[in-house]
Amino acid sequence: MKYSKAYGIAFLAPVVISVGIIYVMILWDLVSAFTIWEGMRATWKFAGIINFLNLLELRRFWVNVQNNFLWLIFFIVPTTLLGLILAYLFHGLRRAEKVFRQIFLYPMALAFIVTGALWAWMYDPGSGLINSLLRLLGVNTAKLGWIALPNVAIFCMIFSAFWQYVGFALVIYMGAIRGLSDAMVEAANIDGAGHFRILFQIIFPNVGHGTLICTTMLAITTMKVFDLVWIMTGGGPGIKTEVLPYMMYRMTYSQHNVGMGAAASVVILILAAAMVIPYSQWAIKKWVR
Amino acid sequence: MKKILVAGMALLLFLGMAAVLFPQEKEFIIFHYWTAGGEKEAIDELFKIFQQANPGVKILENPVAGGGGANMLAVLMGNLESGNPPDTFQDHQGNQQKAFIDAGYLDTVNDIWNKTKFESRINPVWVKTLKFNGKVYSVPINAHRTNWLWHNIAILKDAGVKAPETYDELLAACKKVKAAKPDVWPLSLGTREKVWSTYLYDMCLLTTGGPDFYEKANTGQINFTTDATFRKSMDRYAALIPYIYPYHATKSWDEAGALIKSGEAAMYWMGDWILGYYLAIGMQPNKDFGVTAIPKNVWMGHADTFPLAKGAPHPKLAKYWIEMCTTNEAQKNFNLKKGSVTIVRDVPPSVYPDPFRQRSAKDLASLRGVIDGYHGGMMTAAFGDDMQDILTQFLTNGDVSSAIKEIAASAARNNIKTANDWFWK
Repeated sequence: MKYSKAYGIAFLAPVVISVGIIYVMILWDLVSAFTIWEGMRATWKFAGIINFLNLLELRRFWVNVQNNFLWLIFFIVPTTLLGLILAYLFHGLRRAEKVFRQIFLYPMALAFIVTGALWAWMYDPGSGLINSLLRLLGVNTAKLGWIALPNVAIFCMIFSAFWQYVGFALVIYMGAIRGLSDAMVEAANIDGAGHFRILFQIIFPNVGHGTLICTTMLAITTMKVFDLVWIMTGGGPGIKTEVLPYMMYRMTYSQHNVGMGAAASVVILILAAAMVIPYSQWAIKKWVR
Repeated sequence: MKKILVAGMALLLFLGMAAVLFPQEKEFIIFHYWTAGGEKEAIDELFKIFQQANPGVKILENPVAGGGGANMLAVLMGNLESGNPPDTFQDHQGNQQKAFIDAGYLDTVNDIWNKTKFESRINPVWVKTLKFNGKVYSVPINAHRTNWLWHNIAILKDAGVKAPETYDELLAACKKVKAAKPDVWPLSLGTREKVWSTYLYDMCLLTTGGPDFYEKANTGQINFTTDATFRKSMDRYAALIPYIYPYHATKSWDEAGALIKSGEAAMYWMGDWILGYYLAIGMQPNKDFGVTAIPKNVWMGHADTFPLAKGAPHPKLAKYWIEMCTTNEAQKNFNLKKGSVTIVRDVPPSVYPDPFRQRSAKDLASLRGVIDGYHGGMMTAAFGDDMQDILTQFLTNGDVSSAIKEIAASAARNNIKTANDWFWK
């Protein structure tokens, strides 16, 4: 087939243009973070880092950062762990594996908005599914407020994200484990190693690339999570479940303070890059041969 | 032959595009978010009157669904900023409207106000919050009252409590209801949309310091940290917290209102739009539920307005619409369907079928009026948004000192004292 440069350029042009627009928007956003805005109107007056200073002074900003870190720890670790364990458990079953894989993967087909709406109904203290079931079993649910309780709300929310993404971790690890040679595991079995030892001392070190992909994708998700917070609690009660992307939206569209919203977005970008880049480099060196 | 065909098609295409791009004189573009039941019927009444006087004009509604108008505002902002304004749109008053004025998106309508002698037909509070440096830019169409306390008549009677009409009576009623019926929450609340936490805040300010203090507090004219009356208002708010439904974070305003019907809550502080909801779920006024005003000598509420967009594509039609909204007929037809009352005094209270709106109209015509904090535009957008988070946080711990500190910090950071100069001129 003859390669025609003209056709090549013609067909690539739309993609390049749209990606180019996205990068221009990112650049525009970076510039906006350093200028003053009056409401929604850009003044393009250079203002140094005042937007960032205002942001760092806000108690709300630090609460948000703390919440994002809670997400990092309590979302990534259990999801990855359970994905690994389940992948190992299902690896042995031939036909049942396909069935279980589909069951655990179904939640991934849902958008966060749907998951959030679903779990918000389930968690509702008055008429939600969880409390109704507990009441059927005779449990007194008066104090079980779930996402209405300030100190428990964020963990309830993280649990719904965990429920959705376990399938993702499972599938990644299933693929990774399938790539391992059976001989290693059989040798360990013959030597009398228990399941835990096999899992953590033989399998885990050898699925490094799976772990890398899984944790990086989950980390990026935690830095981005917005629609789940929006639909489940709106950041409430108070600001107990608020995360940086949600605050960025409120600053820009509800408070009409586009400069600070842009500054928040830059902070999110920096945090995400600071997490993902060094970690990926380290993990690649360590786990991917 | 082929060349003629191609040229002809190009011309046709061009003409077609031109027809679409140039505004038709026979069109009227209006942005609003009245898409829910009751609201849609109300604005259709206005369209009826408009269409009769302007037959052959196509009304482009451009409604963007999503209650509270956050979605519509986002679309509207984009259009206004890119120089593509509608003829008119749904707006509130006070600082909300000032944001549009400062950005240069609105044109004045002083001529319409003067021609229809509008100012003399309405409560002075509307003039105060719609006139900016002597200029007015919009016309209010409806008056929603928000200092209503709705209550379940049976529960209050069982607990031996008279329906409260002051803050002290409210607190005493809460205590009595809690003591007599431990399973019932005295005061219902829904903060799924956080804004309702500011309604209780407004009530505490109003009942503690009176309407003048209330206006000063919401416009940042007081020193939040040292003002004793302000601290007293916050203490009073904190005193109510133990009697408020604890899982309000998961309830929307109508779900919280439904707690009155199910008997899980006794009283509910909410604006008059809940009346339509109560009637829809089968409750009977003055039999199942009653309502009192706190305080009963002040009318607190807000209005929806229609401003004149600068550079409106059909200025004659836009001006006709705005003038139409000042007439008694338009106001009456709209408000009968909407659940609010007319802004103008000329429409007699007897037109309303229910006793609550009759009272609201009577009170609006005779009492001192104040505008509520967030929806009314007393608070600036940034300050009001902060307040929502500060107050819902306050509801979780009742920490008065920390809340006052945050409020003062937000007021300073958002410069609300100077931002509200227009109100005090």
